[in-house]
Amino acid sequence: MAKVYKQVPFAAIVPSPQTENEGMITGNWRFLRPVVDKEQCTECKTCYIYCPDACVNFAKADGVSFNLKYCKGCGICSNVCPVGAISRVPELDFDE
Amino acid sequence: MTLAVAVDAKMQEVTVWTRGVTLAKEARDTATLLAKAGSLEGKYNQSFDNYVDLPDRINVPVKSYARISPEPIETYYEYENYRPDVVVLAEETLVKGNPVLKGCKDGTVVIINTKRDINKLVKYLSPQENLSKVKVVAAIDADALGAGVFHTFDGTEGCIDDTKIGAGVGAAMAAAAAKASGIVKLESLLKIAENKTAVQQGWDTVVILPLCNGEAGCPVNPSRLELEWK
Repeated sequence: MAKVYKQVPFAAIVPSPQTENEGMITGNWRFLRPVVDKEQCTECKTCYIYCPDACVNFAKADGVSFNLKYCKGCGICSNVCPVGAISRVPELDFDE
Repeated sequence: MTLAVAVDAKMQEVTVWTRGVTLAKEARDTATLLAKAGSLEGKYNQSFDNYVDLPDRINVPVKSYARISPEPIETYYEYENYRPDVVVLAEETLVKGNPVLKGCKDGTVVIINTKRDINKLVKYLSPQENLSKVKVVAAIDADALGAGVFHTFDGTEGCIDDTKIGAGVGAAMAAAAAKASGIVKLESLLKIAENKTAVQQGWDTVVILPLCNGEAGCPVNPSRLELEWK
């Protein structure tokens, strides 16, 4: 099997798992940005489960963060948050 | 890569950036209004949408186009405006993360549907090297002037929609674009648009800010802009 795999042309192989695709950045779809109130957040990870674009990240030590290159601003995370810790703020209120 | 099949020297190109589904009709109205107004003035025109940008997805940045020329337009086979003279942003957040100034000519006019301080929006316009080609930036609060089809998640918008051309925010944006660029006259727009009040108010309330002292192509001095626009 491994031998057959090596015969596949390089261009036909998609590296997997792939978390980011530079050819499909969807951050410019967003006009409302999710903002977390770290004091209210219980890190229940409900937003992580529901985010359709896998933009919620708990890997960092400072708790929940969002990958804004791909966050479309759909608002699902703020809707499912059980403690109301995620609010949606207009994108142009942020400089970066 | 731009393939210039035909070069229409006197043709003016309008690119309207908008959000897929939610504001697509308003941008189409803006482009159609400008093109039809041009035809009333005896000019040749084209008006069409961009279907490369996945326009059936909600809030995806998409474009609508218009072309107006005093001579017959020979550009049939280019389905995008690669060299816009007028860039209209139907929603203010589009300034972030979208190359709205890509390919623009010297003396380009930018119209933004916003009620924010436009000083703070200009720094987001990209590509930044084309900012020196922008003649004026105009701000219009079209959302307040036209009761538009804004943020309805109705996927059928534009298909079975029976609102007339220029019934919503598109009318005010077209009037603002016409006043800032001089591409068509107010009287022509008033004859076509459904919401004539929005056209008139858009014409009256648009804030036109010269970028670079009214001269096209000169280098931008941000410190001077701060003084001029306050």
